[in-house]
Amino acid sequence: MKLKSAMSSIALCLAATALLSAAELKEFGILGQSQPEGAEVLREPFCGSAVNDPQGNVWFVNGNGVYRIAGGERTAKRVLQSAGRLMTDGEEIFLQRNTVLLRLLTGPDGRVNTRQALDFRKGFTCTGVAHAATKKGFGEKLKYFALDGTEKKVYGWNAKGEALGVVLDLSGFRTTGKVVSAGFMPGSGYLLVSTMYPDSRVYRFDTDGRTVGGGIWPAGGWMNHFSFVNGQVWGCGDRAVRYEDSLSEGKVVSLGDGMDNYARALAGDGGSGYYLATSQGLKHYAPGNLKKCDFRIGGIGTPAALAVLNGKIIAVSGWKILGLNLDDFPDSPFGSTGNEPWHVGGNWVSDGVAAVSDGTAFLILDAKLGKLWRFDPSKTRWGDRSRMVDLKRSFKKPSDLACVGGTLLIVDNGTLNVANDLTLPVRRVDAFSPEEIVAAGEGWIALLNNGKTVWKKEMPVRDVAVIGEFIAVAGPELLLLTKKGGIVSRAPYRLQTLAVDGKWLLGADHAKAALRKFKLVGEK
Amino acid sequence: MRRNVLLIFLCSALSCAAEVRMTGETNRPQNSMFKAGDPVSLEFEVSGLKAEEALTLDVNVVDQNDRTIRRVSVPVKGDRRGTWKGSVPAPNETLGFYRARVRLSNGVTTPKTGSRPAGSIPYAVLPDPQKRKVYPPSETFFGLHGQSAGMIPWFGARWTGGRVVMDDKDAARINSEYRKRSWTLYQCATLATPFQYNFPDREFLKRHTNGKVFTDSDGEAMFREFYRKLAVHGKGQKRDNDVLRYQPMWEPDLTHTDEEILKLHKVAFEGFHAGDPSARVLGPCFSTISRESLARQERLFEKGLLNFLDELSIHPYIQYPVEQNGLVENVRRLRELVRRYAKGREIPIRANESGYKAVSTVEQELIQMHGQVRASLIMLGEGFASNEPFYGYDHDGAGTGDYGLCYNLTLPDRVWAPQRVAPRPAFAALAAASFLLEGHRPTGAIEYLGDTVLGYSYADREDHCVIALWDFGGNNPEVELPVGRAEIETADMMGNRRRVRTVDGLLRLKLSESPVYVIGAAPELWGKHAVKKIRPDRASLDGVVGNTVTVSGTVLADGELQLVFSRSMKRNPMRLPVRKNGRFSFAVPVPRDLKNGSYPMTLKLLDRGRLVAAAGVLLEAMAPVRVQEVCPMFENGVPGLSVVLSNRTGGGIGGWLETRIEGAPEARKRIPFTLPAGETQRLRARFEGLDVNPFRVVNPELKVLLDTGYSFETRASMNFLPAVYLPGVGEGGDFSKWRNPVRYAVDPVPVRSPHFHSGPEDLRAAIAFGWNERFLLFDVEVIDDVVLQPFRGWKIWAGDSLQFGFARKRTTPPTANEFGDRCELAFSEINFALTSKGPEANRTFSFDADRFPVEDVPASELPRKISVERRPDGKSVIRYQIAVPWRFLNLETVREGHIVYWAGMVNDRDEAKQSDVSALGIFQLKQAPPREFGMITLVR
Repeated sequence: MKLKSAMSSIALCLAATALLSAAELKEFGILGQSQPEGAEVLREPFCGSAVNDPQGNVWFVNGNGVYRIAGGERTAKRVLQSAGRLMTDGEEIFLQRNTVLLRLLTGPDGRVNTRQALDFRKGFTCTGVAHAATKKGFGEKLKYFALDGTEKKVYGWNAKGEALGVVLDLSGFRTTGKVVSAGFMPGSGYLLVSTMYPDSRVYRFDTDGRTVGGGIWPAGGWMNHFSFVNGQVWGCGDRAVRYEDSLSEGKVVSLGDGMDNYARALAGDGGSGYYLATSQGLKHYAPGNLKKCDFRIGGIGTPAALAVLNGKIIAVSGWKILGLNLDDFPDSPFGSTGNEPWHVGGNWVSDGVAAVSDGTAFLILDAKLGKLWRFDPSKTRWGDRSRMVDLKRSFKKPSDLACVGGTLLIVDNGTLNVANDLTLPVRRVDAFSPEEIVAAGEGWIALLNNGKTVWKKEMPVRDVAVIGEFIAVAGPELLLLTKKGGIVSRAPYRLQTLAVDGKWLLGADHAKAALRKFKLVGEK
Repeated sequence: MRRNVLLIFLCSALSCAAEVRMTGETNRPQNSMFKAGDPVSLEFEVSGLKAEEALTLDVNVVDQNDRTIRRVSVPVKGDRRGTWKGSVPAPNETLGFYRARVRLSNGVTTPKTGSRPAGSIPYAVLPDPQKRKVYPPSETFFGLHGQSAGMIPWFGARWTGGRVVMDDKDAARINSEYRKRSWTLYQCATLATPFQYNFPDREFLKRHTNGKVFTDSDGEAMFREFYRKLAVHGKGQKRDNDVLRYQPMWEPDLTHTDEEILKLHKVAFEGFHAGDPSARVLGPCFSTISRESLARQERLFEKGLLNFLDELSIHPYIQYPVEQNGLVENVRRLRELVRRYAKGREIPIRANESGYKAVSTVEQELIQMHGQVRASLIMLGEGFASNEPFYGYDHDGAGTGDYGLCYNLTLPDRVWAPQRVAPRPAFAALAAASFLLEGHRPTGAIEYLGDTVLGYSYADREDHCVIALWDFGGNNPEVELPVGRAEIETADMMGNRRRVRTVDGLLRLKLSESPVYVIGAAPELWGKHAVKKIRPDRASLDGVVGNTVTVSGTVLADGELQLVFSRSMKRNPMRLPVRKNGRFSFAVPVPRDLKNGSYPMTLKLLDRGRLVAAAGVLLEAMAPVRVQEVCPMFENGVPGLSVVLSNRTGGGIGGWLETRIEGAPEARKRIPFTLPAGETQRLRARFEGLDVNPFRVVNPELKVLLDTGYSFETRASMNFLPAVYLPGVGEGGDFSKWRNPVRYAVDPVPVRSPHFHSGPEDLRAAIAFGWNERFLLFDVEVIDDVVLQPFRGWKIWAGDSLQFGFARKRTTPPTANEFGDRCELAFSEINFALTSKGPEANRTFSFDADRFPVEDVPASELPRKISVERRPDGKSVIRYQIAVPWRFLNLETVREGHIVYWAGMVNDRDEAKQSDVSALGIFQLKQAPPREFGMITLVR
């Protein structure tokens, strides 16, 4: 009877081992990177500018490159290794780098070359190019213009690059909001000037320096930039607004999902849709729905911290927080705005190094300010200070945190905030329970039970995450360890930071500017 | 003691009050129908009064809207015998429906009589039957299905159902009786089938038919002979009819396959015409006019059904409000289908059933009245040849009221051919419509006076024009209608006329849901030969959103033509100067954000700002791509979604289908598709790794994005529950071939009487699902601490048992044809238990009690095995193996991928004295069944 019982136990153990060893992290695609596998990675989440060429292709800037997407396509190709701001006059494309405006020329071989068009010679509040086909109004002489917001003057240059001096003097123009941008109205050739809050309007000016009213003018909107799309001008602020001398559809047309803080430029997609360059990427709007972005072009940068709560992901980079969903497509638009990160808390200097969910919201460890923030993205009301709450903790050099069974484990200055027998500086932490803790430092990982080291192994570790009854280890490759420290599976991904939601593991792949998604399978 | 005295007093008082009884009828108790000016009195008799007891009788006469017309109070004093008799004169001046609400001051009222409610004496003042004209069949529209108690002349019905008899003596007798009648009737022999006549005999029908249609060549020959003989006999029974009309099938869409419908009509057509070349064959008599019904009829037309029909018959049941549920559009589609497939033949369309069920409440009777009248006006306006509203009188055994246009006062004793009836509001309103419009044929639809305004113009052979107009949106708009008269007569829904002055020939009318009639409009505007100054090329246009449609046509006068859009289109009117006899054309972009639906557009021709003419064009807006079907699927055990997309445009379309199930990243898929013009395509999204409870209902989200940038989203509701293919299992009660059934655990949280459930130790259950060509299969394992089933028959649910609900569909668009809807859903409930009699199955709910009675179901029909095995731990395992034949779900055949609907409860009784059973539930068996049933997907 005893023998049979023992045999049964052995059989059970063997079965359990077999089941455990069958576990693996199955790759389930990427998030936050719109480029398909094999295509050149788009590094940054944001997009500073976008224009169309006469063929309807869209050109945009991401990171240190200028990229082009052919009409109807979604994959971008880099055409220039150079950063700056793209502009167009409706015919040619220009790239402004510092004070120099470069004309972009595409050769017969498809290569893009640059030739200087103008040197503004100093920094201006806003610069622009007149609409090439408009020869009326300011368009008669003006080719390039620049707004000096402090002087309240618009300077001009002709097509040869010769200075025309002040073409619009706004010093006598009184508004309650500062002048922030200037644009050009195709057709009539008026110059457009936008003011900031509380005035928040767009004015038309004629060549005599007088405002031109009538109809919707002065129109509403605090616009930071203006773009030409299909011969019409759009202002870009918290959304894109089409400005017309007389309304062609009986109403002002606007575009944006309310999460485009801030829109920098608008371009057509080669068909009837649009691309909006924003801090959240190059966002596409289909013609039937100008209020909802349907896909996004861009990467996710290099998030230092990830956390997941009920399928909602935050990816933290410095002071920025990006929002994604576990079931997003690689080119799904972010669920965050470009404006939210530490905004309510007034932190544009924070540096998030670790994040975790506490079951209802996210906790973010801020290495720059030595603080712990509680971020609740469900609090969306403008100015709601419960969205970002300072939990009034202070740290010297925090590097990681974990939240398990109501216990918050924090690594600060190389030390874990619970008693333990570790002697080396700790960098990362996660836990099965408040008693069973996984800690890692430079080149090692250990399992602690009630503060005592159960086992310790030497291996390169960037981050650790407890998933089910296993430990995921990010390093030169992604490892899955049993609680006893045995490696049950490995995958060739170099990830920087990890997060877990149930059976789902997320890792930030900085080389691909993407998040990688894995599912724990084979675990019983 | 004091309490007892009080009790005795109370009982005595109650018994006294209970003794007082009152009856009340009109002075025409047979049918309570009067013509204007006929004396109407309400005759009362009160008995059980105490001597000299003085009461008051309150008589409140209201109209169909429950508005008081006249109210009187009558003193009631008993004579020596304690009785009082009296009569109260009632309004009789104006046409309409009246309901006297009567009550004595002690609360006693008249009793419920048949389907007529207590305290209510309805009557109607109707157009004089003597003043009704007789028109030939080709000019006669109004009919009535089911009639009794002399109602038919009051209603003005000419078309009714009939029967040709095969016995010449009977025929002679009926002909003779008929000659004595003064009312002209046109009749269709609507149940012209060998089964009705037992032709040639029951035995032959049993051998050579499947109970619906012949199954071999002998049967076919005999059917053909039957039709021939019937037509030969019919030639001598024409009476008022110009020709005899025969309908060989009755709502076959509920019971027959396409092939059965086709072959039966073919043989019937041949047979009837062989017997009587002038005979006309009607069919196929579908049970609704829904889009699904039209789609199936189109399939049949494609296969040549119209070759075997002379006239098309249908039961155009449709949910109220008829306009918003697409009656107009569907009638037009049907006419268009008939025109397209009739090869140039003129095939009239007849409705020989249509209506609304109404229990006897004011609200439901108003729906019945508005629904019946407006549906009739639409059918007449859209060119139907005739319509027979269903049904002359209530015929529900319970007497709560159903389809009757009259209350049946002899229920429950006499359901059919009652000798006494009383009118409901719909009867009076339809009687008015038939009086005003019989003999008239349509001259045009009026759809341009507002988004929710509909109307028709009609003219008789003398070009006397009547216009009917109403609002179906509850907006009560005021409209202006050119009538070409300085003064004109209008009539309300009950036919009461008044003269109204117009302004420059424009009549101003305030509309409501009750149609108003404009009588005697100028024929040059509204008549048969009216010159329509605006002649659109097409009355309706299909517009794919994002595309442009062209509204074009000809105008016959100078002026400015305006195209005015429906409010929902949010567009300013388009204007165009036009010249007499010139063409016009408006390019109308269909907004991308316009929802699927019908949008009326009005063309108005103005001469110096004055409206000269108007015409309507209907825009049918539709997405370029339609999600035709979304259902769960399993590919090699991997769950997924099967989605059928159809391209509605004339060009190819490419795009993406995106899927999502909240909380299941495995279900996030993006599938490219390319759809050639007009084609459909099935897309399969496999959700590798999706681990979902088969009993959990999820709501997959679908997004269709087209290359053009157009996109739309939709959502489905489903569960992923596979039934495995098990050939032969269940045959002869043999389940042995079902080895190692994979059972899914039932949610351990009880859904009934949780206080009698003490957790999984008390009861737990798991169920496996299978199927084959004959059966839907279940293997249920229940682990119970106490097995107790003390009941038999219908009560077995109250012991350890299973309660299973089955359905063919979870929902179906209601059509107002209740039986048709029931057959479409095919919902039934069957309970299973091991009783002292053995494995019992008892049907407690049936969609068709004639075919599937509510009673014990023998094992020969429903194979099952139920066993109990006691385990060493003291618990018992109850195992149910069940094979439900597909016909119980009103299905003939099933195939892989087919989905059926099911819900169940596992009932548990631990003690005999327990006041209720506790139960575990799978899906929602008892919540508005079968709406919340789960899906079972048949996989191979």
